[in-house]
Amino acid sequence: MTFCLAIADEDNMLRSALIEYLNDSDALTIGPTADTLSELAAGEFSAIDVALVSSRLTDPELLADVSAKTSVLILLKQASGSDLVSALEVGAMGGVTMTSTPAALLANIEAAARGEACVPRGLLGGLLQRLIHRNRELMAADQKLASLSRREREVFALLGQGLEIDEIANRLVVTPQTVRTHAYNLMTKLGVHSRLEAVRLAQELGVANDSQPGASNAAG
Amino acid sequence: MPLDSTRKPLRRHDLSVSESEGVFHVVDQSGTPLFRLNDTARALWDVCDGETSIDEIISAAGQLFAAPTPVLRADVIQGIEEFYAMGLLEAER
Repeated sequence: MTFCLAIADEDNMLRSALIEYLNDSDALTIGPTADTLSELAAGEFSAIDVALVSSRLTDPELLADVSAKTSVLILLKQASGSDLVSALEVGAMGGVTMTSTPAALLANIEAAARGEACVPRGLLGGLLQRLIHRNRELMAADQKLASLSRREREVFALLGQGLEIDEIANRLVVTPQTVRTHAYNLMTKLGVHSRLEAVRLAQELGVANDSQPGASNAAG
Repeated sequence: MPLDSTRKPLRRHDLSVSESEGVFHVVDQSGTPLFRLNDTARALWDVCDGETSIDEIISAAGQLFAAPTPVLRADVIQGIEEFYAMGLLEAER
């Protein structure tokens, strides 16, 4: 059986080297290549079995989009599990390291094409520990989220959508100062120290996707 | 009696992991190999830190592997039961 591999890597030289590395294999045909994830995501996936994606192409939405269409393997530029954890959470099948031999790389590509998870040897324990800690952090954040008032949660959701203070005030029909007060209170309750942290947390918890917050203009 | 999945297994403090030619073993203080660890067992051994419940391990394993949760649960529990059977984990107080 022959598998079709797409490659997305920002490094032209590495992309060319990978193609040469893998071109000799009878089990593999090289499909589309791209230097950005958006270019790969915009392409045709019906014939692609696996997409090999550089760990530096990190847009989670694009990665989730590609992972929904084909099996994704992350090409890890360093022997760290943190890039892989984020990719696994949006549906990637696993990763391969830059130290992989051609045979190992091919074996992982074939495994991913069969729908099997591929975790580089030696990273499995660290990955498991990172996931456990991350799950605990998210659970703790969920508990803090439960401590927010309805209005604070609305402000949190709108911050997560990237709205500015004035825009939130317009949406909620309150003054900007009121929004700043809610933002300060919710950041204190959540233990975040900047709006950027608040935005990131809102997105991680899925609060930023809350639809139509601010429908009510009750005092607050 | 099935293992309580809220239990937090803890590696014996006098044991460590030794690697030789790519093969990992749990060894005692004299370096005597007691148990050979494959990649999965090694990962399981690393999270037996006395602070992580079996349920947490199963949940994290579910995020790594595509196997159904009952299969993962059975595999994780079997692995930890084997550690207990070999005397590699501290007895629960």
